[in-house]
Amino acid sequence: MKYPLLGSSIKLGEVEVKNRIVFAAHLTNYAEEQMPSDRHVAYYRARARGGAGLIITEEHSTHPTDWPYEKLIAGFRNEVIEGYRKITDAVHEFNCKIFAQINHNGGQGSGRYSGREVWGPSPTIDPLFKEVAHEVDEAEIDEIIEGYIKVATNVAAGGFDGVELQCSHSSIVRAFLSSATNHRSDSYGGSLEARCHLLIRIIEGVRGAIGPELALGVRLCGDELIEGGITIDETVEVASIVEDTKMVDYINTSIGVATYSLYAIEASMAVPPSYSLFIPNAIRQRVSIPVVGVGRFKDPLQCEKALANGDCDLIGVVRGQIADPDFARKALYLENSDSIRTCLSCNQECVGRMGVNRWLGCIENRSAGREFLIERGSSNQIRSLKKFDRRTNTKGKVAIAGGGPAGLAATIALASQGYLVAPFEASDELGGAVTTAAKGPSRAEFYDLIRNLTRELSEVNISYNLGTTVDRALLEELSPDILVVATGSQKKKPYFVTNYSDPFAQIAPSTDELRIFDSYEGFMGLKFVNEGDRVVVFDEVGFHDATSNALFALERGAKVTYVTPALSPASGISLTLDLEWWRIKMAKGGAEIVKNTIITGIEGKTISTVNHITGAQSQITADYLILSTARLPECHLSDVAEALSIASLRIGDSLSPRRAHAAIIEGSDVVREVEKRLWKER
Amino acid sequence: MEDKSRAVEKVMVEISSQRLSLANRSYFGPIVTNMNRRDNYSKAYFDFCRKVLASKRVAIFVFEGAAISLDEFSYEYQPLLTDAIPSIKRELPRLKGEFRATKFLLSLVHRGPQGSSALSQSALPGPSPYLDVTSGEICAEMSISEIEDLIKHYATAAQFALEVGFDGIEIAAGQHSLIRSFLSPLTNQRSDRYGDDRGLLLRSLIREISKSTAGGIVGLRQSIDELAPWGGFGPEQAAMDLIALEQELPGTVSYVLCERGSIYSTADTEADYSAGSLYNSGAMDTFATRVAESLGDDRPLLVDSGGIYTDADLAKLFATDRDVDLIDLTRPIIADPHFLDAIYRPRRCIACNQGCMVGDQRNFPISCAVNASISPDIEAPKRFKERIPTASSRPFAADGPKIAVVGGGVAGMVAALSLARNRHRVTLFEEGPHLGGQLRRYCSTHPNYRLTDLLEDLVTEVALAEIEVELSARVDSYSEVDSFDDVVIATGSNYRPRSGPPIVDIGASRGTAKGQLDSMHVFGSSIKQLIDEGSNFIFYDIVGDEASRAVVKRLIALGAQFTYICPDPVAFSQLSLSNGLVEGNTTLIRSGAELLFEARVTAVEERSCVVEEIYSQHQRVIDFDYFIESNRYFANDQIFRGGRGLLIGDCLAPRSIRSALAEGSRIVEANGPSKEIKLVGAQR
Repeated sequence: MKYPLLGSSIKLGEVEVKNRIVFAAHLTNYAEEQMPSDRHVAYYRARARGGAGLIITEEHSTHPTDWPYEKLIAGFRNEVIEGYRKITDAVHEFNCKIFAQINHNGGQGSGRYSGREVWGPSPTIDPLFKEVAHEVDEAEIDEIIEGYIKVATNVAAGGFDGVELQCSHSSIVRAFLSSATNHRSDSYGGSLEARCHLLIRIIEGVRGAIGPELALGVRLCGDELIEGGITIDETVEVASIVEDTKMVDYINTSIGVATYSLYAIEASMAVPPSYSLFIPNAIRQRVSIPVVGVGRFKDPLQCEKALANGDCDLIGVVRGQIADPDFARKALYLENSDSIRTCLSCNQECVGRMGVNRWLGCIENRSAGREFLIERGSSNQIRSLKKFDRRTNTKGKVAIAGGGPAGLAATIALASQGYLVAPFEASDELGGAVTTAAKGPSRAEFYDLIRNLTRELSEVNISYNLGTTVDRALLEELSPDILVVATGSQKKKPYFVTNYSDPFAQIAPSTDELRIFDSYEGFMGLKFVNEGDRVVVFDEVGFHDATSNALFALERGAKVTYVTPALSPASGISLTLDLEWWRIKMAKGGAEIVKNTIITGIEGKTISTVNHITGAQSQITADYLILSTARLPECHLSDVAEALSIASLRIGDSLSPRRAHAAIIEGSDVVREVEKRLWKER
Repeated sequence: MEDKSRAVEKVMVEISSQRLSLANRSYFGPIVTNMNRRDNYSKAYFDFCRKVLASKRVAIFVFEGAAISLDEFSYEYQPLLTDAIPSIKRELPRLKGEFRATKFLLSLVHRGPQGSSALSQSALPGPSPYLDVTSGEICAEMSISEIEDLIKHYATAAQFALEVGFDGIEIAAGQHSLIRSFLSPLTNQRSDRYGDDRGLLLRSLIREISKSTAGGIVGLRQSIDELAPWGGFGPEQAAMDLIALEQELPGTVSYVLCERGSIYSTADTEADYSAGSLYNSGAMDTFATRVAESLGDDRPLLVDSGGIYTDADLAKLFATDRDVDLIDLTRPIIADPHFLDAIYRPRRCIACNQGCMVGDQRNFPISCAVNASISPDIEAPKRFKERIPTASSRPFAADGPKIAVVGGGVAGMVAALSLARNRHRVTLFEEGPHLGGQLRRYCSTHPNYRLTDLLEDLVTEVALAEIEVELSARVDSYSEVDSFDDVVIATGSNYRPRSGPPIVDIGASRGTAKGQLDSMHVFGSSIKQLIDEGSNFIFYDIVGDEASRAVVKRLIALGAQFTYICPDPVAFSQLSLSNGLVEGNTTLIRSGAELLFEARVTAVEERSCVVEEIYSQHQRVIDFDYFIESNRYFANDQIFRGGRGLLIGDCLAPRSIRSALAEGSRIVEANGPSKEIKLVGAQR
């Protein structure tokens, strides 16, 4: 076995787990009317089938005052048991163990869903939800504990193998543990022992409810990253107190607080992998029960190394298994870890959808969150396919123009369905806009999207025709049944720009020239940027296009001014948890941020701007201007095809310039569309 | 004696035009409730319909919009017409039977570029590729065949709507609509016939629809002003679009609901109180005049919309010289479903938007700040269930349980009303000389003058109810209310200053120390003196809610010199749903106050504080005369916590009026199945 430690079994109390790969607790927003759903069942089943040793489900709420986000599972309601059964049965089929995380989010919530006040140890205000908590009294503390016991009982009845108490990023237990939020002077506040009082009572209550057979774990926060909050030394003490109860079988770990320092919990690719391993490491030195480590674990070698170093006993691989449900199987049992579709840590469709109450998905894995549709054999998409079923034997010849994510995904999908494919890419490398995006500072892992697709391409034995531009002559020669246009987007000149500069120019700019580039050409255009040069980045879109260019210039010593018409800068990278890091780097580099401002004209090196709220006009002198503005689809091939009476289909940015996920969706679903067009044709 | 006649009497006039015969002029619009699901109109929604239709007088009731096709998926709980048909078939006939005076219409929606690709998982269709400023997304230009499909979908949807029993349909062509994006030169840059003639889509669609809706009502929701004078259309163009439609297809449209707004002004369509009364009037005058000039009397009826919340607003509307056909009374009816009962004095809408605007991805179910009964039933707190003795078996108040309510603020008054209306014997204790609590302290100078309406309504309702009110009666311990069967505690919240800097005693004679100031004092009159002295204020706002905006607006109105400090990237982040965020930030930015976003106060000294920029960690010292904070109010529960009383409102946890009112109302619902409630107000 290539990864002997990762593949070895371990006992958590009485529960034997077959390997060290944990699908740790994370929100999915799959609950329907606060109940577990078929979506949960299929989602967890896929990871169990994929070889995970242990699944810990998302949190189950213990009390009606705890309802911070809409799709929270109300574990305290008896109706949950039926859904629990479906989940645990599905998972157990694959000799995978499953625990339920149970929690009360406390003051890190709002009363908008519950119609209730939020509860906390002390009347503090949460920085995200902005509600002041009700300071719970003794009777209410008893009610909280009763809630935990109730849910633990439901969980046991629902067939789970264990219970994990969430005491870290968003939890009333964390709020009690932390001096930052616990200002009580009764037996639940003050000394560390007193702050642990609630946790110990919950442990006792829950252990009583689940009996000795089920495992009980506690998830602790190693560093809250807030002033006066919990740090690692205290956490180690808490872990020791927890172990001393002799009722707890393992410790899980995390970093950050969901509403204060969320950016640290599910860090993006801007943060190094294994960034929070110091936490399990420190705890493990003190306690003898197993400890779980988490934090951007995305390949099995990295996991094996952490185990070998003695940092932790089990590894939480969450996003890695969202992106590839077969992560464990490929690493341990198929011994084919190269074929793992590695997570990018882009956070766009997983973490990024949680904050906006959408179901969890994955930029790379079109099936994530849709496993239930595939199991049922029906989805909105598939439903409309039915009428073409009788045509599916008729395969055609498909030409694909463009080797970005859309073209690649389309080629793979079509080839694996038995179509004859002829894929073309005009440049010498695959990847399209992704290749450019990955050149931004701390964005390199985004290129894994292309690396993974390229590998899948080789699995269907297809290679691209590189350096070949699809044109009329080529189309005539090929005479495909259908042309898939995946040629990406093109820049659209804003009204205040007369001409763009040439990004390929090999001479440094002259001193009186303002060089103007679209954000897609920014890294190229900024190649001559020198220390002290003045770079303005104008951002209408609010995503990585602009922020990467700003950092790129900043890292080369330029004086950067970021200008946006929006009320707040780069709002698009806030949900992906990149904003915090970007702002810190910008602030450290002395970059200026100008909000509510549009560009009205350019004269020489002078950029005229107006604040669209106050009407105040001003001017910025700059050497470079990078524009992240609306782009247009590049789709002229559709017209060429039409002139030749060849059916065509636009996907990805060539349909409408969007993010990479749209390209993957439309590429993956292209078979259905191709069927439709061919059907129409005939 | 006040004049008891209400302007609403003028609404209750029958309409009989060639196009439309209606019981009266009232109109209830297709409000997003988040009560439905993608595949059905829910039981909760039909309950909501019954609640708001309780007066049995609403003339037009438009159902929450249904998506006309699979690719329209704008919010998670937007019903998809084809999937929701069974639920309509089941319930609509019953509803029609119960409310015979009402015409039931279905709003047919395609939001196009203003939809959500996160839900539809496909490109958003639009007239031309443009960047939507709200979603940050670029739509895909529709091909001619896609446009033709859209028209077909609309026609089919209209046909379905009539087949399942609706009296008609309303076409969504206003804010948030694909049709408007075709009508607008801002977003339609096509070079084909749908671009050369931007009204072509609307006309083609109505032509198609009219073929299958003979005898049905066809309403049109139209934006009459995009509020984008640099490139969007205004009322003149909107009138021309309607006139062209009438000339080509005379008589097909029964009514036009006139709203305002477009992509750059989404928050202005359903504006809150800050937009004032009748905020759509200017555009409406122009639009109505043009339409009347061209079409004369044989024209679609026009529905006035925007800024009509109370009887006073209606009186203002009737005082204009515009012909008024129909009036959008959605919000006043939500605030009090008996709004249309002319002899009744309803609880008034305060135009706060805090409960009824739920159109973002959080899917909050609709509620109302002044009418808690609109919300779906919420499970009662455990202790409520166990403790309040039930009155259900006792028909007469004389026998009802005796309840003491301590505290005469919003929560206490509403609790007392709910209890009294459910046959409890209630005594309401208030330590001050008047009822009204915190609300009385700020409402008269709050930028939302409608809060005084709420105070007046509640005080009047208490006076008319069978409630024993003890004023200037402070309750200091449970022993003082020993003789009651149960006790409700609604003692609100208290200002608790931070330790360190001196506390300003604003009522004291001249020469009081400068230092930290109770935010509530901003609403008093003594603050003027401090401002006149040229003092510097700091307002440190870590909450960013309605109360914060009110403090800021009051400071601006009084001409105070102040610095605004907030840890968030924008001010008033809590007002995004209620459409107050943009307005609040714009007002703040234009005021010229010094603004420190993404900054926190790390220390406060006697006359200065240390402010740290969050990202650079750069610190600076800022001097002040007066330091105000948004979150120094804490539950006033010291005496009563852990005892026999039921805590509600701010003394449970300091929150909004909406929460106080909801908890006060729910105290009885918590007490068992809801009972037939006699409307106390109807006696007036």
